[in-house]
Amino acid sequence: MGKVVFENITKQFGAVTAVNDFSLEIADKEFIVVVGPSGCGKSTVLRMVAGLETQTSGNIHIAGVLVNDKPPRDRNIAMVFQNYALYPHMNVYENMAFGLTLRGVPKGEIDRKVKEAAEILDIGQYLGRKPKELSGGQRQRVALGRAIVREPEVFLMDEPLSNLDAKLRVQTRAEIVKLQARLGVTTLYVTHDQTEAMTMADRIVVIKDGIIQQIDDPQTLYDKPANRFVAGFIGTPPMNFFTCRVENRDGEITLVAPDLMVPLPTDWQRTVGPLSGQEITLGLRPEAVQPGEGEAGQLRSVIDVVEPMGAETYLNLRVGGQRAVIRVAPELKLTPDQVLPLTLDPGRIHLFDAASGRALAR
Amino acid sequence: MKMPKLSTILFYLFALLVILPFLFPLVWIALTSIKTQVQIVAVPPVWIFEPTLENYRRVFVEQEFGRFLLNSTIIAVGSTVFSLILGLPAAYTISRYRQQALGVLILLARLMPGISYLIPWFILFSKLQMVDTYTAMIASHMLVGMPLIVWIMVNYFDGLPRELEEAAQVDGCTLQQTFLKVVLPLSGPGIITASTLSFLFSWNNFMFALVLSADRTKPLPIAIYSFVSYAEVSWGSVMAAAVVIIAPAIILTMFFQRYVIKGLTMGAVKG
Repeated sequence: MGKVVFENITKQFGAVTAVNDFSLEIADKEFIVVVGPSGCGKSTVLRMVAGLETQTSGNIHIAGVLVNDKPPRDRNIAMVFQNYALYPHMNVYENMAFGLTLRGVPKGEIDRKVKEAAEILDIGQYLGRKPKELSGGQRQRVALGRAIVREPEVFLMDEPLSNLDAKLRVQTRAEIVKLQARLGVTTLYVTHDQTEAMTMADRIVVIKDGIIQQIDDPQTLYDKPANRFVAGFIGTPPMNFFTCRVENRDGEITLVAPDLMVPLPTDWQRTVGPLSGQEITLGLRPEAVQPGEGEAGQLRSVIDVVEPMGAETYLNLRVGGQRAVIRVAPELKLTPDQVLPLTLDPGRIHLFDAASGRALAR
Repeated sequence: MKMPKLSTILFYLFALLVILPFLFPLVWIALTSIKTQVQIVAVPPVWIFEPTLENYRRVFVEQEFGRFLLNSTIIAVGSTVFSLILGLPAAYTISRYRQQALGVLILLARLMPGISYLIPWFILFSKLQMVDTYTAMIASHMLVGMPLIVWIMVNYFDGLPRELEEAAQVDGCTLQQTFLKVVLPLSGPGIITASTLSFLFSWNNFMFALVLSADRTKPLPIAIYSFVSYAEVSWGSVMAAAVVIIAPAIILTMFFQRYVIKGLTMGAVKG
């Protein structure tokens, strides 16, 4: 039962609060990705589970056991490091067997487990080599192998893919997901890459400045971000934000900004109505806006840059003084400085409190 | 055959010019050690002569130089080994747990002129009846050897990636196991550098031995001093003895120079 529970974890380094009141329950066999910009405290969360850092306050339970005062070796966890941290003086076999040897596992059993893991990871032919004789991708596999053979309660992975080239990263991403599902080991995975988070996680924890912003499954996170930070962090290209003023035009609540006029659908009226005369942030995903003129709302934009991606094209635009990136079909023939009217899908409007960034509910 | 470039020739000429003042005394010592007393004092110096091993025979057979060689070896190896045993864990602690105060204290012991320790030591070791024991000699040489080892190794440990130790802890190592099974095996070059320098210091040390050793533990540098007697200076024997002292140092340095240079510059350019 590899359940991991964080209870109000706070970690301070001197005067700096790296992690603030972090509470989370990770279910057995769950794949959790903690994502956030660099320096947000996500690695600290991982290291506290490993026992490499001690929390300033709060409790951590692994598999039902309170581990606050337990050293890393007594926590039954395995960790994959960003730079792999393979022991340079040991060959691949010894690297993988090291943890088992320390625990006094009989030689025959170690041999069986190492060879089994090597087979899963397809590194059987490298067992006699030293880490420096391996490519980055192979080292990555050995690091995974070292974690697997231990059969721990929890895998901890600290940006394990960030040292790989783009192609290998995509490939390994899928392999880790498959491996985790096959082994059924609870996994806590830390990354700054929202694509990794979206593609791998059962649930994503978005964290900023040591504070949890939102915990949800990938699709919910994308469709219903809790605040402007999450909305802007998840998704490529990111969500576009426009600062607008709320106006009541003959009973119809409308968002207004230079070159932008969006009458809100009726389901928004109740929340936004009282804000009449105030500023509000309108969030639009790149695919929620399309070229054309419609009734739902009008934006008048000028094209800055056209970025063809093959399957789609990104347009960098200016709407009034505000910048935006939208995703359009590649067939459209567009040129910079062209004036382009836009229409939007009213069902895909996101609204945020201008001051706090909190998402407003319909 | 291709002619070497003029710049190459100039480079080697210049190099020779720089090295000559350092090399000349060594060559002089080596040559003198295989000359007879008559050839030694000849003016102008004799450059072509029939070499003799008589000086070496006298040094080893009549003066029991073998014993002094053994003393020097015991003291140098002993002080280096014990400095390593104490210094390596100390250096690791300073590096990983930011024990700067301890580090400064150790350095301070080294920065004090060695001579200022001699009188207190002599009194101390006399009262303990330890003058002219290997223990006293080894302990005194550790005063220099250990700070040397600590400070070279602090630099070395600082350069080792911490993730390795963290990986070892997660894998199940205690702190001691991490140090013994992961940190030490990766510290070979640093340990070689530090040990070589510590060994050479002890090997060459004259002052401590002059006060703290007598017949039983007399090391080479003191033994050579005794060739200078009231009656005469036996230059041939002095030079032969000097070769015996210098040779191991040179051989050791040549063997480990790659590590020593790397070790000495390690703090300067962190790679």
